[in-house]
Amino acid sequence: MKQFVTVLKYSFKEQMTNRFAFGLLIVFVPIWFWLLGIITPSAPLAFKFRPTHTYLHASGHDITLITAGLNLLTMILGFMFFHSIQRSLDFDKRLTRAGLSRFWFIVGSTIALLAVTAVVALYMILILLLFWPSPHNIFEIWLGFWLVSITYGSLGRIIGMILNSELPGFFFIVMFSMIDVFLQNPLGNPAANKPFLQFFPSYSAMQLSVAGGFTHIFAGSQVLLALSWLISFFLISLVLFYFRTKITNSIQPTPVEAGDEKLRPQPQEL
Amino acid sequence: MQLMQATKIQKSYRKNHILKNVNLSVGSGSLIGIVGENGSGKTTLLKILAGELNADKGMVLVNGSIGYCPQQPVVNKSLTIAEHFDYFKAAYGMNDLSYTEHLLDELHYHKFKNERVEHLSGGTLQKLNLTLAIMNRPSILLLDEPYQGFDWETYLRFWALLEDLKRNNRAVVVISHLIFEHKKFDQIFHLRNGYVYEEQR
Repeated sequence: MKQFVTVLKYSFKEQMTNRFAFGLLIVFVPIWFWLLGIITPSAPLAFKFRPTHTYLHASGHDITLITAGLNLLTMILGFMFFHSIQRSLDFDKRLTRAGLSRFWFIVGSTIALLAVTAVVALYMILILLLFWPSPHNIFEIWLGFWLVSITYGSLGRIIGMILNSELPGFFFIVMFSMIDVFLQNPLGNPAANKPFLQFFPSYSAMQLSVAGGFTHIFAGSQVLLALSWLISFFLISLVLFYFRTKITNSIQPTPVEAGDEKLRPQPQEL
Repeated sequence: MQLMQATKIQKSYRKNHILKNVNLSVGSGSLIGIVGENGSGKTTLLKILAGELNADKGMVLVNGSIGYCPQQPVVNKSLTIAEHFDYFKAAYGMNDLSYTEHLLDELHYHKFKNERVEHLSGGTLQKLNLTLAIMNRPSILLLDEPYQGFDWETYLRFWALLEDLKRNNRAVVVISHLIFEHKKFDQIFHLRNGYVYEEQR
């Protein structure tokens, strides 16, 4: 239990010390919403709303604010968790070698992931409200934001455990997010209602947020779809973490092939 | 008492046979040096002994706990030195940090205790790296180029620490491309062409 508390404490601390990510949240997020608010017209756009299989005619300005929020969350949180796992993976391995339980490690870092993404998603909602004061259901928008944040936080962890350097990982997350989220916005993409988009990770978060923004429907089926992406990425990140922090079996007795001719007698002395 | 026995260790990276047939015994209260040129496989051997890396063939039997100090400090830049100790205290299941405080004094970096690691010099990072490996007083200590970046005074204190560990029946294996203090070691091995040769003294 003491290990769990310690892991939890330092998992939070690690995220809190990412000043670059916090700078982006405090400075870049309001500016981005403000800029999009200015340049995007309010003319209604047809948006394919999956829960009712109908087209919603919603304000282009407000839909764009939702995609802006999703875009920012996916990039910033993907980067935050990518950066933290890349910085700490060898250290985490050293800790597990020292005896820290990987179970508590996983539980502690998961709670930190859930809590940090929840708070950042809430912050994003508060900024969103400055530019769009009257969405129907704020909780549902937040839920969409939160689910996509966890998904991309897990994706960031996966990339951080696969790639060795920072720049390629950063670009991967930016490009992945752009392709995924940008295509959902009917303002930027006339083909945003194409069925294949439903297989994208942020699709259900977009549907959920639009449901919260423009309808009184709770899109429960979209929550399940979002969870499938989230759980997939999360499980992959756990498996990778398990193998990347695994202590090798070289200190276990392992048989040597008998009669291996490549083996030569051990030289004795100089 | 034997604390570690490595037998017929082999390791290759693609077609490059780094370790061809390495045998090594480490007894309690012994200080062993392994010397070799850059790229001779010293770090690979130590990683295998520490359980960081799998050998292609061979086995390592261990009787006791291992403390491993890697060549490059493995620390968390977002934490302070004190937080590192707190984290490792939990990992090692230790009750107090009195010995760690002693190491802080011995290695002369107490004043940096509450500094974040990203602000520390290379030498201080190495002191922390070493402390994290020793703080639970393991049975076998594996040190990879441990005195890199140490000033002369710290270098002397480092040897005094190893002497202290030896007196308490700990085994210490030090690898380096340069070993000056030959007389301090009980045995010195040269790693060359994938084999270890014991130096005759």
